[in-house]
Amino acid sequence: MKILVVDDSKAMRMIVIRTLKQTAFSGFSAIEANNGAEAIQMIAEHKPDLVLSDWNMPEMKGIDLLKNLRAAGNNIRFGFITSESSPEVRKEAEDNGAAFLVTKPFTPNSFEAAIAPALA
Amino acid sequence: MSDQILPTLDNVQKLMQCLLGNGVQAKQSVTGPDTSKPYVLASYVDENDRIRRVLTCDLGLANSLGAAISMIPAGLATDSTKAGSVPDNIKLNLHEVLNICVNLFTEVSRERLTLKDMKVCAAGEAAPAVSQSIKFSVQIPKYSGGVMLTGSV
Repeated sequence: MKILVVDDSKAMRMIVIRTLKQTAFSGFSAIEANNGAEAIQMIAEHKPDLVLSDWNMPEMKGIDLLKNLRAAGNNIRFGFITSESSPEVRKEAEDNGAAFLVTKPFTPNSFEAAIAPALA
Repeated sequence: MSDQILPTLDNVQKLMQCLLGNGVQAKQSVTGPDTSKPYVLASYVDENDRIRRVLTCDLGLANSLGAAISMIPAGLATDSTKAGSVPDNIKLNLHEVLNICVNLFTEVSRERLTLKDMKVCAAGEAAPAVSQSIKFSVQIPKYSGGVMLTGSV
């Protein structure tokens, strides 16, 4: 399985990947993008199975990345990992086709609980 | 809506442990960052772009948080604190930590807040006036740690 991690913080991308390795989904390869615009290129080029994206990023926000993908007919599995946790944000994510939203900070357990249903 | 607007010790301990490991110890503190020395100020705004909360931390904690999250050597954090600075690589990480720290406020008040700005303030630079505040000391294994203040504006 190939997972694309999208976050403008290099440290956070590292933590996301490290945490994923502590879950049942440890047999994956990770690729990284710094923002939504870069993610679109990576998705076209590498065709990942799952996108884990931050919400607030320069260039293109996570929600705009998701809208862009869905508008282009791409139904790739997509989840947010963000410090945004308000009901409005959750609803916007869901309405636009996100499978889940994990709030930072997270644990391997919270990751697994969110991702497992999306990959079922 | 709850009347509580500032984080509890439990909130701080849980968030820091979740980010940096179970060895992190937080305690409530009588004193906050000494603003006669350089310190870091994070401002959190509501949907109308009004500053509603602030978090300040001394350079010891700022450098420790920014370094520990991506395992930058503790020596660099300590040397930077002694020099009264926060290097760019630690600053980038610290911004992410303080971005996540918004949950210290939103968990208790359920308001929608976002990190607006993070800056390293010079010695003696006035911090925003706060109507309420709670101070904590945070110790991170292998790093020096320090003190922080959470306040409502």
